[in-house]
Amino acid sequence: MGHDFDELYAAHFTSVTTQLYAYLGDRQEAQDVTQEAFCRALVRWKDICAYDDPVAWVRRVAWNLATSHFRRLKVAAAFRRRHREEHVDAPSADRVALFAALRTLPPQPRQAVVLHYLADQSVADIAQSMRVSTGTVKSWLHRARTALAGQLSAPNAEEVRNA
Amino acid sequence: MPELTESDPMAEAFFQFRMEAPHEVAVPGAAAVRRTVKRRRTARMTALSVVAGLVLAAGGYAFGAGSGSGQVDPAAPTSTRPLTDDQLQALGVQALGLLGYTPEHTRPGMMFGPVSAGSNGFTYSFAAPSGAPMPAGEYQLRAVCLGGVGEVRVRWQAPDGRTDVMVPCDATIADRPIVLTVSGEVTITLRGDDQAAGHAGIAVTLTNPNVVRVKQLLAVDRGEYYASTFGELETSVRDLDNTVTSGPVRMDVFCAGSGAVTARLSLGASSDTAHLLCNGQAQMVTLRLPAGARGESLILDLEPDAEARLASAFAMRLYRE
Repeated sequence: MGHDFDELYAAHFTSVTTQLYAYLGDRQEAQDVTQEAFCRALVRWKDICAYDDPVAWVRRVAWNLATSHFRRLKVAAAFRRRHREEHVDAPSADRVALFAALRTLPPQPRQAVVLHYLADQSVADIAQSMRVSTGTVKSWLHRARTALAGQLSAPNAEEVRNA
Repeated sequence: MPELTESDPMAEAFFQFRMEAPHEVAVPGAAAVRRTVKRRRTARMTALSVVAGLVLAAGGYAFGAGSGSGQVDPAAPTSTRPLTDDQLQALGVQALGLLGYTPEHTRPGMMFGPVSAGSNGFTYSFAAPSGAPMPAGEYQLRAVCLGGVGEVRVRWQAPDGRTDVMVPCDATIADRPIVLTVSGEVTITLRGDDQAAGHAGIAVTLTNPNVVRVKQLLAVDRGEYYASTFGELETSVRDLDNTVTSGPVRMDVFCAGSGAVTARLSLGASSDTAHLLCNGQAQMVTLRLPAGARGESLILDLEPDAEARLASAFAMRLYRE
C-alpha cells in the first residue's frame, strides 16, 4: 500500500524547509522551494507513493531547486504573487552569526554542513546524495568547522561595545 | 544527530537553530499544493492543445542512439549511474511527446534525444534545413527536459546575437519567443550540466522557418482583405468559411518550403484550381470565383505532394471584390 500524500506533507514540510532555510538564509524562499518540491511530488504521486522512502525524492528535488540559481528564480516567480506580507521577529544575534558564517562557505560545503548538522546525515549518506567521495565530504566538514569556529565564537560588534 | 560537544560551536549553533526555526516556518498546507497542481495542469492542457493545433509538417532530426524502446520513469529520482543509450533516447522521445510530436512525425526546427554523459557535457549544433538561411522573424523556442535532475542550456546563436534558455530536467516546458532581426544561419547548441548529462533526455522545437517565411508575406500590405490564415502543410488542408456565400472573391495562396501543392477554391458549383511550387522563397498563386458563384460556404482545399508534406508551410489571404 502506498504512502499518503497529506501525511507525508504534514510530517516533513517543516524539516525540509528548515534545512533549506539554513542553506539559503531566507525562510520565505525555503518555504517556496519546499512547496514546489511537494507540488512536483503530487504530480507524480501515483509512482512516488510506492517508493520505500518517498520523502527522499521530495528532499532531493527541493535541494536541486535550492542549489540552482535559475530554478530558484523560477520558483520565486511562481509563488511571488501569492505571497502575503508577514511580520516576524528580528533574528537573534546567534542566528545572524550562523547565517553570516554559512554564507562564507561555497555552496557544496555549505550543503554538506547543513545535511550533517540539520538533516543528521552521515558522511557516507552525504557523499552519496552529493555524488562525491566520503573523503571530500570529510574535508569539507573539517574545513567548515575550522573556518566557522572562529566566526561563531567571536563576539559581535554590539557585544564589544557593551563590554 | 551530530554529537553536541563544547569543542564544536557549529553543533551548538545548529542545535539552537534546530530548536527555533521550525516554529517560524509557515506551512502553506497540502491543500495549497493541490490547488497549485490543478491550476498548472489546466494551464498545461491549454498549452498542449495550442501546440497540437499548430503541428503541421515533417522532417526533423533525432540525435543519439536507439529507437526509444528503453523505458525509464522520467519522474523517478535519478541514480548516480548513467542511464543506457536506449533509456536516454526514450526520455528524449517522451520529451518530444510533451511538445506534441512523435519521432515518426517531425519537421524542420525540431530535435530530440539524450543529454549524453561526458566531461564536457553534451553539445549538438543545429542549422537551418538544406543550408538555407533562416528567415528573419519571430521564432518560438520550446524545450522540455526529462530526467529529474540537472538542467540543460539551450543556446540560440544567430548573426544578430545570442540567447540562452536554461531548461530544468523536471518536465517543465520552457517557452521563449526569440526575434531574428536579420536572415542568416542559426545554431542551436545544447549543453547539459553534470547532473543532467547521462541522466536526461531533451526535446527542442523551433517555429518552422517556412511558417516564418509565409508570415512575412502576410505582413506585406496588399490592401484591405477579408480574412487570412497560415500553417504547416503536414497533411491536406481544408479551410471553410460559411460567412462567404457569394462571389466575387479572390484568394492569394502562398507556399514556402519544397515540393508543390494543389490549391482549389470552391463555392457551390464554382471552383478555381492552381498548382503552386513551394520554394525557399515563398511563391504565390491567385484564385478567383466570379460574381455569380453561390454556395453554403467558401472552401479552400490544399493538397501537398509528398515532399511538401515534410516541411512546407502555406498562407492565404481572402479578398471580397
